[in-house]
Amino acid sequence: MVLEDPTQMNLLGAALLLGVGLFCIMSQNNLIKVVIGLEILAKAAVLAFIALGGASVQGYVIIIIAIEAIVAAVALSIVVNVWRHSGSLDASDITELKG
Amino acid sequence: MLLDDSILVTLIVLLPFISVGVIALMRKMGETVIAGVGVVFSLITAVLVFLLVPDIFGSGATAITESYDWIPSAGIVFGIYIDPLSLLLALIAAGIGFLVMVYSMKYMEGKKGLARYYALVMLFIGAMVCLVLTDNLLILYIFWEIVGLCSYALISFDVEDKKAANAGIKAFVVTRVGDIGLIVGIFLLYAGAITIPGTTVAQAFSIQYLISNAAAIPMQFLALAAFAFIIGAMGKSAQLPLHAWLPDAMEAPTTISALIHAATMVNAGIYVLARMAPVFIQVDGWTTALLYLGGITALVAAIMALVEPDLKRLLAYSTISQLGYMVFAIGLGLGGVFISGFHLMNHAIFKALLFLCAGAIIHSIGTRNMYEMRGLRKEMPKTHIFMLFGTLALAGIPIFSGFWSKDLIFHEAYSLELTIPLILVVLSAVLTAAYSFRMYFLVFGGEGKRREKAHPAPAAMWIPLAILGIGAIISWITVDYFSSGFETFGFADVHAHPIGDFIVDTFSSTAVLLSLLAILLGLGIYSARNSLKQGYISQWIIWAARKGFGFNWLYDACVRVVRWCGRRIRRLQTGDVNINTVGFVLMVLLIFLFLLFQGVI
Repeated sequence: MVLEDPTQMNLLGAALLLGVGLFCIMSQNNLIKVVIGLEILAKAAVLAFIALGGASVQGYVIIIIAIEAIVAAVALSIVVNVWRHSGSLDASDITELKG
Repeated sequence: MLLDDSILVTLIVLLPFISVGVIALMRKMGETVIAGVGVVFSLITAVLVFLLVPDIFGSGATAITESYDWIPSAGIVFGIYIDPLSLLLALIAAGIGFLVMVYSMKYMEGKKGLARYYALVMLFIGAMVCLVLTDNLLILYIFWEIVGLCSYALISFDVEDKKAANAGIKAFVVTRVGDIGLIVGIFLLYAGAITIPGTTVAQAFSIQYLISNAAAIPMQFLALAAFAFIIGAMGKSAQLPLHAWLPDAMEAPTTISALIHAATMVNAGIYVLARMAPVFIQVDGWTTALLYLGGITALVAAIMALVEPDLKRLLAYSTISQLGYMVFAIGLGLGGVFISGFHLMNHAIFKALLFLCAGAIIHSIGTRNMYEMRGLRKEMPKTHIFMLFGTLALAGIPIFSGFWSKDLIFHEAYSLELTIPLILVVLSAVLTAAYSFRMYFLVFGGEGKRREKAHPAPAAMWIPLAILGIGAIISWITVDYFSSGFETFGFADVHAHPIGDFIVDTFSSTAVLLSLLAILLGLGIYSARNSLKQGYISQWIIWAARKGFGFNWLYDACVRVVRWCGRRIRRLQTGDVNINTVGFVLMVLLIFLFLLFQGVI
């Protein structure tokens, strides 16, 4: 049974987190929510990493979390600048790269 | 021996790249410091490469092999294999690179971005040396790309000049077509070699393994790879129809032109063909394709050189034409590999000389148009003498270096009874002589108007000229040394040419008549130029050559097609982050399903 095996449980959790993160990025228009989605996505990867790697990957996981924090900080600072620049946090308003 | 071979090789591979980092970090320092450090590093590199000479050209020498693990899990190694062919190219790159560095001290004085300049030149030299020393085709491809990148960055060194920037982009895009040919060829060879039982990944990329197992590689892979490699060489070595980047690259500083034409960039294509010739020789039609490609390129480029008013562009066309000879020589079969290398060396020396002389002239009077030069004989006596040497070598006048290797090509083609290709190269030798004389008399002949700016070349400029000028006269004497080295290493169909026999053989063969005839006819065409210009056919040819035989029109057509497609495809980009993510997720799912059906996961 899946639920009795901790590795399978953890992988299931990671898959759920992945789904939530992707859904968040794809459906949400608010830029802060998009950043939150990105963070959830990254946590899914970390969880899968722990599930398969066990205790030996601790160090790497902490490094990844630290990097994620930096990514979040940079992403949020970009969001703040976008808000200052355009007065809006709506992702569908920001289409400067439209071809 | 002062240094162990393996330490020496490691130093040669690492030092240029270390120096790139060091020079790039010296951005804030004074001009002379940057130039000095650059010259010292290139001197050390050249000395280290020259230290390998006794180990490779001694009697009973064997190849120096090294192997550094790079990605062990994928079986990719950085293999080194040094034999006379690779060392010859490395000597040219490091030696001429050093002379160009010395010359640059004065030529580039006062320009902006000197740290960038010297760092890129060192990267250029280092990448070329590694390209020729490596045994692994993947590593070769990486350095091939670095060489391409450096030539792009150095051609558009003067970033504020729109023409230079565009010329750099043109060089990059056009040679990219060739790069695709090369990478496709490398993977075709890999796919063919991996089918041989017991072959590892590292072996399937190893040039020496491919050469010794060439017969076992399935023919369909081999044949496609052979022609893909020709496309690769076409781009790098500027053969028709991918030649048009080279004349435009003349927007670069003249020192860079000398590097690209003599020491690095264009030699890479010839080297790859010469290196892989033992593998591809069994493919039907490969040598014939090279004969016609080289012969036609030599002829067409010589015609374009004949009508070119710009000194540097004329030299660029003459390089294309001479590269045609080298490709042609490889087409003569395995014996031609040595001839090609020999001509490459002679050409590298006299072309570097011609470019550096042209640089001295341009530096002094500030124009590239030959019709505005005239009569520089008295104003720049040293440059005049050395440029004369270079011109005579280019025209193939006996005793000068260009004569010997060109004659060897004629001799080989004549003894193989290749009539039509022979006619192509002899005709281009006629035109080569004609445009050489035209260049010389336009720049130095006649009486020019008095210029106040003209000044003789300073020492940092004329000393490299003197070294190369002597080289243009005597470089052919090394034929003894190089040919016996090639023979020792068992290059098929290459025999040692002892110097005495070489001279006797050269002058007693029928081919020498062709060489002399070409010079006389060339002189005839030059002296009869005014009456020749009146002819109906020659006027038509001149008109077509001035238009570059329509190749630029062909390029423009390609660009228009790409732009037309781009304008339609750009609609797919909405700029909306949600939609982009949906596309990204769909693609990941597709890759996942693909792997699932392939049974990888």
